[in-house]
Amino acid sequence: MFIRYRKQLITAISAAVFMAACGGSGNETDIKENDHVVTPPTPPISETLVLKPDTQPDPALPSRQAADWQRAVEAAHFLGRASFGVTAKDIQFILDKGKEAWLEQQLSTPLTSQVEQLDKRVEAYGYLAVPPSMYYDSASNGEWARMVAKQDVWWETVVWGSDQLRQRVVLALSQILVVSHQGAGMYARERGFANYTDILADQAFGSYEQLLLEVSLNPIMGIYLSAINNPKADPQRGIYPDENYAREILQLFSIGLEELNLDGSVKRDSKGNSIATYDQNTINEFARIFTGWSFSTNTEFAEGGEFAYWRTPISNVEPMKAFAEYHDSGPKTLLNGEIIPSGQTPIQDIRSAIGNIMAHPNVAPFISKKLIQHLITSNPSPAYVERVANVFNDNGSGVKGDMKAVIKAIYLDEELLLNPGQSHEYFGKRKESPLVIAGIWRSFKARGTPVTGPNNVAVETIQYLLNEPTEETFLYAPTVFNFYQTDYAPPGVLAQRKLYAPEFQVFGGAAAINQANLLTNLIYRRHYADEQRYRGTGQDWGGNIFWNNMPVKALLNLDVELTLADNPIALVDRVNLLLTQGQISEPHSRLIAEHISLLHDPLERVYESIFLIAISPEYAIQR
Amino acid sequence: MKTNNPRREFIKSVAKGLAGTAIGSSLLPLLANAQSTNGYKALVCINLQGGNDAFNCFVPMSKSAYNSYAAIRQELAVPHEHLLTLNSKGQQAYGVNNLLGETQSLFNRGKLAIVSNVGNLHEPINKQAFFEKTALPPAHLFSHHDQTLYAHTLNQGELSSGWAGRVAELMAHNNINQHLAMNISLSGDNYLQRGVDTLPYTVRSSGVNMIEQLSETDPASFSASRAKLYRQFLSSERVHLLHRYYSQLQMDAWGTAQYVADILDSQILPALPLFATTHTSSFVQSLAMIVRLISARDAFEVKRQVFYVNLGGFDTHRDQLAQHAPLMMQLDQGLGLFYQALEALGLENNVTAFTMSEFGRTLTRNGDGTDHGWGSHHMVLGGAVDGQQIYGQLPTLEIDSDDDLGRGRIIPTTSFEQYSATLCRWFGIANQDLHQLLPNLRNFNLSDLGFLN
Repeated sequence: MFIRYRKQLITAISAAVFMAACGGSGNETDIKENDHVVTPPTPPISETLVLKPDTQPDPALPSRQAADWQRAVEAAHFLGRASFGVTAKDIQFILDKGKEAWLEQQLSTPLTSQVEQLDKRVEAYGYLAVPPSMYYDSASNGEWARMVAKQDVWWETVVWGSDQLRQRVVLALSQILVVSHQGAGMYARERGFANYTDILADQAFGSYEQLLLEVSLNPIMGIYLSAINNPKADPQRGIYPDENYAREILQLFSIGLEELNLDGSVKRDSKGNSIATYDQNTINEFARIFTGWSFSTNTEFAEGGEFAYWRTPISNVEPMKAFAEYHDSGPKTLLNGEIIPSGQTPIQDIRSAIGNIMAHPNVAPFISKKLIQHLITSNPSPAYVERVANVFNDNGSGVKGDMKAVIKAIYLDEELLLNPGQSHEYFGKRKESPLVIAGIWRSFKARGTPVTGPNNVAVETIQYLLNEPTEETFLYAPTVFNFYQTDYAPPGVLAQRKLYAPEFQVFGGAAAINQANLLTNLIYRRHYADEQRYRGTGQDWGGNIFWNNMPVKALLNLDVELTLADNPIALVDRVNLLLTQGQISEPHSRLIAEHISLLHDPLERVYESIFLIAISPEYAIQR
Repeated sequence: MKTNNPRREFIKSVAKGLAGTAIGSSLLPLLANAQSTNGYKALVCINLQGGNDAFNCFVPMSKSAYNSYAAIRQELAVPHEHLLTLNSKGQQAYGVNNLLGETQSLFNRGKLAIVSNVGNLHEPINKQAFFEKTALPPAHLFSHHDQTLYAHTLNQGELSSGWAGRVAELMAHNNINQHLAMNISLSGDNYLQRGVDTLPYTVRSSGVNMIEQLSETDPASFSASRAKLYRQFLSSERVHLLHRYYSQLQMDAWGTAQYVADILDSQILPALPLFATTHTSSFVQSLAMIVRLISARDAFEVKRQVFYVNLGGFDTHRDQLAQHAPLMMQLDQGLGLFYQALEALGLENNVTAFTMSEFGRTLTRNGDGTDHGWGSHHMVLGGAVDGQQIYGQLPTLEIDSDDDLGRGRIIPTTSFEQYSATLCRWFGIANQDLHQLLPNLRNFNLSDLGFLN
């Protein structure tokens, strides 16, 4: 998918000398409407945050025979759901202090700002953090380096960052409120995407209403769902407001198509039919709400169109700016017949509309169920959905959409307390590709590799570039409908029992084989001290940031595992606990131990045990 | 899954095969060689994801109809002088966008037909019936997901299988090979090809990927012992349904990959433009892989196949002129190369390609793009197609006409049921099975649109 950017790049280079003046204020967190400051969210950003791999020694983990084994298994299950991968230190933390303490600590951990990390990274390579135009560095491939760096710092955040739970929620939210680099005209907007990620991260423990507001005013979403440069109707010229954003904010981001009960099930009328939440008239009315918005740096409405390459990158970050004369300020009839009065400003209209949406009884069950499905299990019980939806509706202090309370309710629900023997035989979900990859990197304490910018300064980075189209790469969904549908049931037993397995919708045979090969690539010859360490070809290793034919640049730290190499069953127990919560059965563990005993090289034994467990069904599924 | 699941049996047979000679390696399928075309048929679905603006692909040429279209479309209108004439056997004076030159030529040669104003309909409906609710449209019109699901499944009820999936399950006996799925997707899983009990086989445009670390080429190798252990793990009984599903999927993919790769590796490709390695469009590459698979039909021992390829990006809300053009060009190039290759291989009468799309687009603009519409025109290509004709009823392209639901959302006059039924009948589905396969077909008078011989 990156290949096609190269093609766009070539057309862009010739034009990139053309520059626009920088017109932004530089403060990207203010939501402004002309001079009226509407909301100044202040995300808790640590100013000196530098992400580093964990190089501290790991604690020993209990063996299958140890008294603590079962408690460690339960801790590992919890961490598998709440982080990007289980670490020995986190297991130890929970064994010592309990999962509630871990959760509380996570809920108060500030976000790792992607904008900040990206800026720092591109500066380290010798580029301007905020260039005056999107294609400013084209001649030296700078805008490509920025795209790469944005991916890199995200991987580093989810592998090395301490805000693990927050970023797991971001991964879930990014699949509900979808924007995608695959959208038209999204090249060289990486700072905008980094900022969008920060909005999700900020509101992951914030307010769902505030999230809807910030997303509605975000220029990346504006471009993606064509809400930007969307004028009011001009019937004489046969032009009507764009319906794209109006439709999706209702269908995908808030209430869905059918009225729901609090437990997430579809409400039925007396004839047993479902009840539509809105019709085309509602869409027409909401489409009128979202008229009149353009880039923050525009002095004229829709100046230059939305795909202009000379645009200043700040306009991809700052909230959109209202142009009242292009806004339809007439009265509008929204959900449940609520009428928004005429004469409101554009931002007042959006606030009214989001208030109207938030008041709809569907939001709580709709969003609660989607969050549970993305975070915990594809098939939550109706009672579980209802318990979480109740908290969504009221956090105990009368506040609706308090995300911290919702996340807590999701992770501390009684449905998660059942041990694997008690829980039903379909609890869990297939791990999306980022979880499969980061899971290896976190459990085995990945280090980066040195990558050098044009200034010849080497930066240690985790790089994973040549993603397969079938992988659920962060912010690369094919459409606003995400990679898969949360009500996808594969044919056979699952469909017959009306059980969903959404992530399998994009995981056919070709993807299954790809995942096995990807895991091969991630594991073998990746130990940092391996003398035959995989070095890629030619200049790619530690050399050039731009031209990569080697998909992965990360090393593992297998020091602790190596100390167990002469005790194969202990080695298997440790890997089993870290990767699969001890789910590899005792007979299978013995077979793996016998198999690796055929190898003499301790490092080969470690690679072999990790690989065989990583390609198991137990690793592929989060339980 | 059924207890006598043929795919399970296949896994066993492949497992045996891998220990000795790989299946199919002794069969050298030579392209363009003396293979039987007798009785072989393939359907190729080209899914135009996002809602193709067919009103800018096919445009009326007569002065009054063109002027009405141009007045609504304004700067999005295809200039009249850019339209390529379709020498239709019927009376309609229609032209085609100049980016669709191959399409024009295939139409004028009688190899391609246009089916007009097709859409998702549960039953026939007109404007009055729509607003008075005396006839009901499918639920959630204008929603991508719902309309894709409807067009691909053609069901109103609980059944969530796709119509091509059901076709495959009904016609399974036609293929000697009960192991390779009749449905093959170049674009991953999709609703169209999901059966009640079966999934399509997915292959990439680049071919079949193998799991290198589990190679059994040398039975004495360490990787072969690793593979043996892994097979043992995957085949052990598991209680957890997702574990079971993953195990089966991985076993199936792993076994089938070897089998398919062996056959494709032994193919000798003729130098056809479709097979050129210079194509950058994955859509064109996918069509090339489809022709390769069809060419190996004897080695695969199959008589019926359904292929699926997705071409995405048609949701042109914005900047439509710039967004739509490269998509039309890819589609057009693909159709041209595809048919040329079929003719060169003597397969043109055995293969029928057809387009699908979840909906058309509004006639009106929202600035520089169009919104989700309803009815739209579609294309059918192949030697068996009674081409050079526009089937169905061409809509009036006027705002507030009887065809317009509002803003130029055109009410379809032909349903995807009728369109699919025509394809299915050619494919060999018996009349009495058609209605079981397409439960809503009975609501429409005409169950064969006549575009296939």
